[in-house]
Amino acid sequence: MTRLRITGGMVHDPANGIDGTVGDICIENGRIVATLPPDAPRLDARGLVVMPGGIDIHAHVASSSINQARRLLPEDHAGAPIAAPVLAHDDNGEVLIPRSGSGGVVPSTFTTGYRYAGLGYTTVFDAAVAPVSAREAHAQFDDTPIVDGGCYILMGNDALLHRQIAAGERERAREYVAWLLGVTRGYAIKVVNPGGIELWKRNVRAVGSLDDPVGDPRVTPRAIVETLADAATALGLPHPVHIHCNNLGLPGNVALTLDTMRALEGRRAHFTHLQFHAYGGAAGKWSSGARQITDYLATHPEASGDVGQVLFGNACTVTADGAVEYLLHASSGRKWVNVDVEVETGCGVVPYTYRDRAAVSALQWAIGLELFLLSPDPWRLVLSTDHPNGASFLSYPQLIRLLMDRSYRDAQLATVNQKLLAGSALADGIAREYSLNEIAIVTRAGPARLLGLTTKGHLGVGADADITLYAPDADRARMFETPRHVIKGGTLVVEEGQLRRAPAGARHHVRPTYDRAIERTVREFADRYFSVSLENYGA
Amino acid sequence: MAPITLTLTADLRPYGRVAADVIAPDRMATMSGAELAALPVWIARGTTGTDAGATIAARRTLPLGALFTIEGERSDVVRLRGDLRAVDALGAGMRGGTLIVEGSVGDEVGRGMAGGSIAVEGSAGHDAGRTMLGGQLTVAGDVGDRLGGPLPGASRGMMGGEIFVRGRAGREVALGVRRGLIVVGGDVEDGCGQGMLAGTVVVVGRAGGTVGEWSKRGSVIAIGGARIPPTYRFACTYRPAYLRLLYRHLRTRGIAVPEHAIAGRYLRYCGDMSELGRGEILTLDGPGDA
Repeated sequence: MTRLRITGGMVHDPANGIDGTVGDICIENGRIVATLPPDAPRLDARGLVVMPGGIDIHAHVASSSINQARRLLPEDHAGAPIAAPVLAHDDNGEVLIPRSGSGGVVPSTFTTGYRYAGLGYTTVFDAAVAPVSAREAHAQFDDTPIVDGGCYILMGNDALLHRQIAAGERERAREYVAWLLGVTRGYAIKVVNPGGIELWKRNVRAVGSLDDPVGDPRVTPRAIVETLADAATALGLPHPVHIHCNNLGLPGNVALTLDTMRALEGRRAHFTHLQFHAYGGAAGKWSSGARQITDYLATHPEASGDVGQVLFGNACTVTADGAVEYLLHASSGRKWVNVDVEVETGCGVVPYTYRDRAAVSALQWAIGLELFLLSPDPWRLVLSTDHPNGASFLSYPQLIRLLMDRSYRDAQLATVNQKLLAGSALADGIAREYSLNEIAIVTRAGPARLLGLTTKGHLGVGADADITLYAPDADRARMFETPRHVIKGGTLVVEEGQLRRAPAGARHHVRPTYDRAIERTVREFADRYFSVSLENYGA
Repeated sequence: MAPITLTLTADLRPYGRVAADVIAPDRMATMSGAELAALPVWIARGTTGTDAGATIAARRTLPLGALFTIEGERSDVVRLRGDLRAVDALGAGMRGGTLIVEGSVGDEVGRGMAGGSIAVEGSAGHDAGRTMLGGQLTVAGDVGDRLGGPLPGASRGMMGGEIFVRGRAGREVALGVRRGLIVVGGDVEDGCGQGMLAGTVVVVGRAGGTVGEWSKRGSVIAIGGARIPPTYRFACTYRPAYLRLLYRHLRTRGIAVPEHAIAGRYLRYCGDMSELGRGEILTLDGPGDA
């Protein structure tokens, strides 16, 4: 399909200041153009809501850790076989081969692509890829159709980086970061539990402060996040450093989260799944720290975040943060995986169920909603469930309903365990309801801006033709669950609610320039410590 | 209502193994002869020769009627004849009705069955009664490994129902069983009752080594004796009343329980002490008949 005019839809394009105005969108050769000849094919969108395609800023869909999760969940897969979709011939008359798969909280690769597109999402970033397994991540993305993909590369516990920091070579670390992003075809710098995974490998269970030494007194969580935040800025990366703070999931961790934010005051940084880092109180007396986080964001425009909402039901925690997975396994008794990813990072997987009758689950659910509802700026605090950690991406429509529909939210709030909710902002009542435009910001325009994707997340001339059309429905969950049409790069992938085409998605990556001298340093290090040869490293 | 009789007439060798999970009496009970003949049977290799332009999915199945001669229709009693040793997953997911096999079957017979009964008059392959939920599975001959076990990597095996094997069984009988009864008339190999969460296993013959390791709860009764793992602790010698009731029930199911097992005293071992430790192994005090 080279040309298409979408006529008469209510357009929500917050990046261009358009809020529900009825208008036409013209598509030519996969991009949005200003005009089309009158005889161009038309798609009647009268009565439909038109938004840019959804962008998931933080999910786990294509990495070695997510394959560990798939391996760990055979029951989940046996219980949810997914038949191959019935696809139409593409415009060249070729048959697109549809693939069957399995569902559950961690669907198989093809099913992941089909289901994201079926929800109106057209771009998904995998938030944690160990450099040594980048090749595997890209291979999985190759099998995840329709959606554009990209990887954030784990660096916060990299032994070579720590050595550079210990030697006072922060500038050299920048060259290493640039080399690493290029060789792994990564998009952004990811930091998971800075220094904490390295400490976990030395049997330290939690990080006490940002100034805890990690082996060398000069290597501290503070030094690590500063080095990497500066590297992202100096290299001109489209997305700032993407930080998963220390002590995820521990009561009282909000203090350390705020310390990390203050440590990077004045520098651009993205703090991910903040819900998991916004706990006040102490063991047995957990409380919400959501307001402290949103207050900080209100006065610091250089900081951004995503929520990492928890929703009740089955989930699977998948993270590079091996220490937290040990605790989760010990407290839940569920089966687990824990991996020491040689000199780079760690990995843990524990299937988990959030229960509305459980006090901590209910508090986590409430904190996520508080972050959304107290958020000073939807452009800087965007939607995520840290799929599949807080909930599957398939629950986004339910989350959107919670944000848009106060009566639904309050009804659910009344049924959950109240033990830890006393005095929380949500229990006191928050009247805010997200508008359609705000939903378009937290699921599309905001992530695109934070990721530096200039041709995504908006419907202006020159943008990629990634567009979702919804039929308005008072039940917002139903509305967002089943888009009427989804267009990806100009191709009508979902037509009248049915997945009809599954073209391959593109890959977003960066290739910053660096001083070639760093290659010798890396090679010497790799020859001594890597289990793979440098020739087989990267993607 | 006459039973449905399926006679395997095709030579299966070109196809490798076939997965006949469509053969389930409760689902066949409402089907006409034509509908039965059209049911898809998955084949491990080979093509049908009529697949030009078809999707990949269609290429890997054959209609039931191409492999079996089908007599009768609309009955929840299904009788199978022929050499079915390469036919897997018979009775998978069945919820009722009766499946009778005149001979031996392949792997995964009765996988995930929730009701009804399967009677195999020969032997069965590996993974018989895998993830079974209810109903009865009877095998007159021997079975392979992992009787009543889980999917690979899953934490729970059989969750209900009864399995009676009159012959011997292979390794890892009752792996991860959550609930239900498994009875083996002959000996079993190593790993019987490993990782059990609950449920009961009776071995009339002798159990091998590594019995009940990593079990949380559940009972393994090895009449012919077993090598008790070091993580089990001797508790007492006693004569449990429920065993006599259980044995009488087993005799009605064609399991030859010897008289001295009914009258005898049992050594009770508790374990696995490296886990929850609420499981038990019972062995007959004194020599068994094995």
